[in-house]
Amino acid sequence: MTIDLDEFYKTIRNCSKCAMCRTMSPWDMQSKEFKDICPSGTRFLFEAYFAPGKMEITRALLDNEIQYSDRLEHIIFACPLCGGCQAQCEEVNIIQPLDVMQELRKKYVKVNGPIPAHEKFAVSIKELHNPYNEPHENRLDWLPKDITINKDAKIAYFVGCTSSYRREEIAKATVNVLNSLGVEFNIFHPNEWCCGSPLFMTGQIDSGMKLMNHNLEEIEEKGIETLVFSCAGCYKTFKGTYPQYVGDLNFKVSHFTEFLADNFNKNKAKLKMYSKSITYHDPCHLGRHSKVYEAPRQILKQIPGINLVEMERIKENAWCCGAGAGVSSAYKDFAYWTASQRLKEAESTGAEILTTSCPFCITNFLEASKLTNSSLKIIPLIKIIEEVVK
Amino acid sequence: MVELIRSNSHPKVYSKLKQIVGKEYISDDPSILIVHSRDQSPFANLKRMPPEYVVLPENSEQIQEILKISNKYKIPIVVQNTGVNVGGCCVPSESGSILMHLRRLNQILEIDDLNMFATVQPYVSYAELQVETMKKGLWLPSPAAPSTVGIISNMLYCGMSWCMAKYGYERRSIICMTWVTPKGEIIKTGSSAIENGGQFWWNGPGPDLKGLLIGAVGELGICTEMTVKLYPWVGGPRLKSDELAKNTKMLAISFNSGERMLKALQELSRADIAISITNMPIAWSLLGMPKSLETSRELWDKRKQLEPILKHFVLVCIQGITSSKQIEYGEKVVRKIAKETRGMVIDPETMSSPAAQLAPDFQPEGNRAEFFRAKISPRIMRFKGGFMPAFFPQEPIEKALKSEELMENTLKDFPIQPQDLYSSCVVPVDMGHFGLHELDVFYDQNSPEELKACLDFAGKIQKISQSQENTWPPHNEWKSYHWDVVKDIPEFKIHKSITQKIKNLFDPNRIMNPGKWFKE
Repeated sequence: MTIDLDEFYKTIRNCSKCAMCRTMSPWDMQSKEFKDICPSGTRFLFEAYFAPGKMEITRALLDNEIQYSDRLEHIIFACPLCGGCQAQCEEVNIIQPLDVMQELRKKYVKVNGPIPAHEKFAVSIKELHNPYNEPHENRLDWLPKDITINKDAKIAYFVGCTSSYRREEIAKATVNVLNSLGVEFNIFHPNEWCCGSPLFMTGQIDSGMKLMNHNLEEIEEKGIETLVFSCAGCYKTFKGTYPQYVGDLNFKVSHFTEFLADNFNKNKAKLKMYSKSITYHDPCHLGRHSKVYEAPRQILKQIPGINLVEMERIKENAWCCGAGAGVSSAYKDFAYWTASQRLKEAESTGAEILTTSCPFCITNFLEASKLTNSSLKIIPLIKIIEEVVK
Repeated sequence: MVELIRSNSHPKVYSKLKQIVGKEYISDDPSILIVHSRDQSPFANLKRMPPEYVVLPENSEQIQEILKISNKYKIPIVVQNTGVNVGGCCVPSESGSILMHLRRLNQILEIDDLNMFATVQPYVSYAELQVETMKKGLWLPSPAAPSTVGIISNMLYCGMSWCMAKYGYERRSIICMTWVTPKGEIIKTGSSAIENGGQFWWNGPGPDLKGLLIGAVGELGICTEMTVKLYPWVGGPRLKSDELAKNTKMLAISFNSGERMLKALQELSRADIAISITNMPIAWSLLGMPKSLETSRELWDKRKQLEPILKHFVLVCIQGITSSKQIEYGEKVVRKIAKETRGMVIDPETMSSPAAQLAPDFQPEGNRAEFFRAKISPRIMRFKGGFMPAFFPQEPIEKALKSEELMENTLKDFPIQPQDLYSSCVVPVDMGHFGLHELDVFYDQNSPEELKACLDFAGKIQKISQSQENTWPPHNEWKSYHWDVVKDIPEFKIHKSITQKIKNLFDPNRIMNPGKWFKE
């Protein structure tokens, strides 16, 4: 069940403005340089961009004290909805700023319609079932010919739009790994559509629900028991968003890190040496939104030769890559700025490789890395796994 | 409902301010302004007032230029550092204000580990300074507030900490300041007043001017840099570390009477064996210690059952600053004093302790980290949504029971239910020379009746307390309503007259944070 914005009114009015949501947990803080948790407030500086400011703005909108403006639109949408504020607030209060901001976007769209950049990908999703304006029939072009797909398998791989069209290496690596481990799996083509994450995250709920209904019907028809994801965004949408509208799903959702961590443990996987120093970025949709922190670390720790060096801001305290919730399509500079801050932190660990388990984060890091001339190698976690299980 | 009013001079002033700070750092958009129309205090909630402009200057020079505009057009200026405030002190109280946010002045300018001081700008919080100084074996004790509060504002306002028995009030740690007056002059205090004088000495030259800025609630200017003392720290660079566990011992003592607890507080403070000695109010333990609100509520429902242990409860923190033997010795002293004062020592680090059974979140690791960077402080607000420090007597510790009686009697008429939802605690200062007594009341910010009731209650108890012997009623700078309280005290006539002259001297146009301390 989703909660209407009005129902948050009393709670948000009681936000104590303690500012705990401006930085990572003070208990875990290790340096002043890497203390911030809110990309939006840290970049745009006005208090209105931090969670307490957004709570006050929501109250003022509900009280009809302010009207929509270009600035207000920017405050509402120039935020990756990373949930860093909510993770901190949960330690001390009950305000739920992330949930409030998601409802605020819904309200905005209901009154004003989607902002132009978000409308653009909504049109693409409606017509082509992906936000990248790519032909739907090309969705599976990346699939290597030697991969075995079992149309009767109870496990299915939900590829997602980013892995299908922009990070094909992630989709290929995922199926290669599944094949190498002898996992029988299915893929839905031609009936896999966008999961709807870009729409749900930008307040376009009705359009998102159409995709949800389609995808759920497909999965039910195929009798799938476990759905595996290589995209943190798709995973979070199935795990967290869909149940808000349809209740519990009657199949299991599993991010590849969870699926493989389980598989490695059960089969005592023999993995090749990978002698590298690596730091891991927690994608917001996998970490804070879905609370999956340990599985990727378990995998990295099991690979012989890997030296996992953690950044200062990890797990609940992770700094976002900056791309999510429509930011990379509407405010590219901000998305790259946020990613560049993370690259700086990753570099400070002395690691050679920055890895993560979300294709969207990878894309944003790669773009930002070009702009900042970062010396880090940015490699998707599934690619590393592909290399060691071959 | 608040109204966003624009003065006739708005376009001209906006354009001049934009020239000073740059277009990215100024806004007059209602969505930016409305955020600053209130803070968490009942004062600001009852009379909300958004500013007309928000500006984010980068340095003292820009601040000076903004002050020139403000003086020329007689526009009030309200300054915010981190903005964490429960006193309504950094939100406008007059229309048409410039809200100057010092977020861009966010640097730790120097940490001198040899001479044990650090120089910071206004937007540096306690947590931020601590994480850097603890790497060098030094710290500035955390305030009894979220560690997100700005050091400079906390020092100049009424900052207090759990460590006052050893280190005194927060302001004791001020060494030097750079201060921009309302007219735009720059004053340096302490040894930094003299070129090449360094930043190690706090007095002079001549009369110590820093006292003027302390307690003026931002009405006499803006502190843009402050040098503060640092103290030895042996807990290692990270709070959740073995080093902290090894070098720190937390002990709790439960007493069955207030007299015994006060006696123990005095003895423990005088013995000078701990970095912190404080009475922990039952409401703070039950409402603030658990991570979840549900657990808080469960514990609050059981409060009668828990009262025998938690009503008169003292926390002591010992650190092995010189050697681990210091912890052993300190613990022996604590146990001896507890025995003499008939207190029951509870070791919160033992999982089987009664405290751990009562409050499952009272874990050793969290307990230590909590002590140095508090989460209790923001947590207590979630219970009703708002809390107000309503009464702050400073008094000899043995007088605290009298104040307690006064508080309890006055609370009987407090119109907010439940009437037992308040907290009061005694924190020894300066090795027990005196104690700070704090009474907090809780209210719902959604309720105008409760907001008003809080203010009425605070005014009432302050006035009653004037008749109390040996009780210094209000904190000298606490709350914007303080002036209303002291104005009726005959002895304050001369004080009022002098402070008003000082205000006029520094701020003839009355532009700096008007209405917060010096009232007409």
